[in-house]
Amino acid sequence: MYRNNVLLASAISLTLISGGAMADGHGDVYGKFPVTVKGYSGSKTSSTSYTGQIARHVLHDSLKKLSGKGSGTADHALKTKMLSYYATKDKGRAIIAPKTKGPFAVKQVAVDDISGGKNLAGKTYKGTIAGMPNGMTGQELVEFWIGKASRAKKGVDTANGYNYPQLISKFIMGAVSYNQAVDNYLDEKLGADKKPNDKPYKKGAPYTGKEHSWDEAFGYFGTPAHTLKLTPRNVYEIAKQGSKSKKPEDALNYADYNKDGVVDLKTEMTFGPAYYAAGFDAGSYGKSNGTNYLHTITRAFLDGRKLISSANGKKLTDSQRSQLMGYARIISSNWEKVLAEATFKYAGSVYNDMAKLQTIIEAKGDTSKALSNYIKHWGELKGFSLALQTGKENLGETATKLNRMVGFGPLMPNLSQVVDIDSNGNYVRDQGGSWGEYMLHMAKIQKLMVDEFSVKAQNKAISGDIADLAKKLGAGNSAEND
Amino acid sequence: MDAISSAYFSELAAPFLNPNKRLFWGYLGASLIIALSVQLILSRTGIMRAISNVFSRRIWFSLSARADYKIILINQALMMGIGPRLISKLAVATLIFESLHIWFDGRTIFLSSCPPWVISGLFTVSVFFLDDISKYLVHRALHRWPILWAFHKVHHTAETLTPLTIYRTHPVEAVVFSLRSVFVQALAIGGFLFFFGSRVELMTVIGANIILFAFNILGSNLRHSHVRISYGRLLEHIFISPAQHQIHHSAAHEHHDKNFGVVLAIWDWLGGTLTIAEKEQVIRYGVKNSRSKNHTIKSIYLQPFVDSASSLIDLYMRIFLLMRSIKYIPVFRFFAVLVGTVTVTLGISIRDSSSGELNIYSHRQPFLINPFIEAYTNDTGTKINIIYAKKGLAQRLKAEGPLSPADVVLTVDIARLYTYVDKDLLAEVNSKILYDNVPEHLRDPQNRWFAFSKRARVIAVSRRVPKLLEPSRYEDLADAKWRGKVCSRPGSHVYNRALVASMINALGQQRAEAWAEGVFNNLARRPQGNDRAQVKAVAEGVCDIAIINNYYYGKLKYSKEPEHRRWASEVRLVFPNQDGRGAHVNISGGGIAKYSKNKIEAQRFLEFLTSERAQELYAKVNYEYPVNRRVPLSQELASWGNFSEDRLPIARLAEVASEAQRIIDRVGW
Repeated sequence: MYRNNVLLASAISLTLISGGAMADGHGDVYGKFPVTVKGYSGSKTSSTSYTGQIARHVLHDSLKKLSGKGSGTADHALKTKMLSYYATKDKGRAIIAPKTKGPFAVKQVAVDDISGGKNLAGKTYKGTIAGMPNGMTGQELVEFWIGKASRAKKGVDTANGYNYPQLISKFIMGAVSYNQAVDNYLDEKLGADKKPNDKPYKKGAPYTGKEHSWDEAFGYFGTPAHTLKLTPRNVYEIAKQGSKSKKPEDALNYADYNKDGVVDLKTEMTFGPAYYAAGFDAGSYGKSNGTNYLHTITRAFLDGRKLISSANGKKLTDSQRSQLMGYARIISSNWEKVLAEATFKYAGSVYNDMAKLQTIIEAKGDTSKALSNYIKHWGELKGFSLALQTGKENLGETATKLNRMVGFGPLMPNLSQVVDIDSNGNYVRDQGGSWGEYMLHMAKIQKLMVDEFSVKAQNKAISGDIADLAKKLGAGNSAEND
Repeated sequence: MDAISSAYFSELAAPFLNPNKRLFWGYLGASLIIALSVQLILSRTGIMRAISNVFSRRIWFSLSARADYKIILINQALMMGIGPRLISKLAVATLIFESLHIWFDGRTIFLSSCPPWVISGLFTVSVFFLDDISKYLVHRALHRWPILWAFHKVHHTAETLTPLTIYRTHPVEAVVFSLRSVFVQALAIGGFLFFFGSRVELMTVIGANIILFAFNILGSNLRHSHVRISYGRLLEHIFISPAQHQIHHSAAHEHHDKNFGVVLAIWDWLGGTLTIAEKEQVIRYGVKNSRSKNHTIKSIYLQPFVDSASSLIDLYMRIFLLMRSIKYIPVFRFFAVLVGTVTVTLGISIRDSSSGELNIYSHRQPFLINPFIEAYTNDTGTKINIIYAKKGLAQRLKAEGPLSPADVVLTVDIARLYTYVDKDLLAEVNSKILYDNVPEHLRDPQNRWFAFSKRARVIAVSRRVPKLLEPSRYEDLADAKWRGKVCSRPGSHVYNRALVASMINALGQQRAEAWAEGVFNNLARRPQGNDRAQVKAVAEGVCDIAIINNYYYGKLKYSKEPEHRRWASEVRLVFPNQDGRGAHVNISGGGIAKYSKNKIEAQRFLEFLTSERAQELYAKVNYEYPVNRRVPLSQELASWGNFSEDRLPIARLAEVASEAQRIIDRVGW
């Protein structure tokens, strides 16, 4: 009798698992997974849940948008609003981005439509940020930048060289999303006794400890649930909401998996981390050189989730847990590479901007556009280089080198560079190194990314043409004698 | 093993399949057609005769040719081992590309509106010219330098020439060729990409440089053959004909060291080594003492080392005789004394280790503070450890917090001292000695930092400027009469920012900004470099006046570099505003770290730095002025002129530093 019951239970759960996966098409979608919590009495039929993370992506996108709204003078109201998206859990916050754009109709209009009571500050990297002065924590740094952004015209300080929307956004992609996923949910929470699979995540929840931990990490990656049914280019175009598509409605078609005519931010949208992974794989910034970050990460998430689900609400065995940690390692290392690729790419952009700026300055031309690009790209470089340091490993010497070469601020055309922040929050500048030396720093940063993280896409490689040209010239006439 | 042998055979076949190599089948075929045509058309030889001439057994299976084949087989194996160990073209090209950033301080894209094909054309031609001239120079050296000729001779012992003789090369020579190619190609790649960016491409035909393709398809292989083709007197001044290269291989004395060129004859023409092919010339190939021994493997591979070593011994002997003639012995004595002194000094410093210890975080360079430390250690026996860093020490001290091992902080400029008090990293010091030795306006109102030396921001004026016309005030630097004649480092440097701060104090914010704008408009070039570079610019005529700290002048005046002394001799110093508020001075200084575990010793050290003995050292070591009024000016400093200084409390400069920075940003200095 007992044996029959076990067999029956197993058969039911197998049906449920395959049914859950099948429902979304051959198991390639991170969709509904069955409820496996023992004794769950609620009405939910799916254990999948990561709306809190999606809400944070939306808070992040909205904050980025607000960061560029400064008028150039102190704007207390703007600062308060920015802080409400960063630090508070206020109700009634409207979604400022992403919003409906042309045919790309977005289902939700308020953050609460996704998940209520969420903020970014509580989930920002708690360690000190070595790449900026005065040993600020992640949260202190973002709040410092928010203060500065609210006073800067369009969020850009052209004297010190800071583009706050870029700095804030790129940093948060690491200090919140990457850090929470790889250092918390895919690391600590995979421990045998942390958030076990034979108990609900919290009392009354339809998901187990491990199921939800895994989902939360997936949520932070910010990729559509049906990513494996899309190409990286499709996923990239979704984030661009049609602006990079052949026809604007293409992006909607890629995103709208359930064909209800609108994009559900909870499951169908692409956010920051996945957007960059997709961008590199799709060769959107140059060549992809065969990278496959997006699908590798998504596949590992999906396989991991299936594994947890298959435990059917029982505590994971050591072997299951070790397999799960294998998936977690794939996710962490590929995610880290994406951040390193971005650091590599923006070091190249900064280098190119410097060459352009110098050419214009020497021709006594108007530098304003080139300078603004330089500051923007430097902000992205700085943001990503700091993001890279918020993983679970201390990068040690690599971080020291990276921070020294990038500096606290960009080397400005008048050869000044921020070297400190005083106790009143004012930037202190000094004469930096030479222009040529700083350009070389960018080349060295790229080399560091190759040496330490084996980045492959290598977009905007500063010395990439050297290898191509060297190959073209062929081997020297080694033994040919005249 | 199979992999190695398969790699060996594929490498062996590679030159016949690679259009970048002269032995490419297409080029060989073209040469064959030309060889036959020449005989059929010009010499009116019958076809069968022509074919048998070209493929003569006497040539292709001679002792010499058979040695060629063996060399090819052996070299291929050797180069598979040596090749990968040579420096790579990529590494050298990257190094050149990067170094150019430093030499040109950045990178400007040239001819940015030029279409890419022009750049590619320029690149292709340049690669060809660089390649050809460097081959000429290396080839010339191979003949002229006995140590190299020993190896190159292997090639010239060939008595019959076939296209395969091109690979009759000693491995040492093959390494020389590879390195030449690496450096030349790297120079072209690194240089072109630096100046023209990614538009650079090589123009190719079937993958080979278009110019080399033309050279090879036009019968380059006939250079190493018995088919004589001359281009005629005029063309042979521009291109090396097969006949000219055959002369190069001639054993006749009058043909020695002639026609080193590969494609172009102009290098030989310019270098005086050109010989034009004569009509119906009969040439015996080889070297003077042709012996069958020259074709044995042992002789080919080992004899060059013996010959080369003997030429090296000969060279050493010459150097030895030369050294003797210039009396090298005193030089030796000098080194002996130097080594002795260093040893004794080391011995003394080891003996002097003592009980007390002091840790100093210093922004001042070690050579500037070492004399003080030595003196202090001698007096007290305290062991001093220094951590020196150009920047980042304040951040480090802050991060270390109460655990910091630092006792004393030494730095230059009020802005940097202010950083330490702003971050609350310095302890208040209660010392009557320091209060006595350091005037009130040169120390922190709360006694957390003290000045140890003063430096004046002065105007270096070219001696080309008549004394009557020279500026006498900082205000004059903004005068339109100096338009395009002023040099300065960037305004944001702490020295200039402090000067702007002093101008705000003297003139008020508005007039100070107008002044800064005037100075900026008068600049002869974009602000760059350090103060030393400004004196150089004046000396070189880039500008007439420059703003510098006084001690740079002293450093240049007494530099070991004659060039530096010349720069100093081209300028004179003006201490500004002597009829008014006096010259702006800045300071070097320091304080005691807030969490020092050794505050008494730290205070004793600061007191020592302001003592009469140490204060004299500041002038000696770095031409700085003492802060202790009881210490007279050194003779040297006094000779530059006594000056009155702006007695503005130095802390005030830090208070208006932010305002000064905003002015600098607004005017773009």
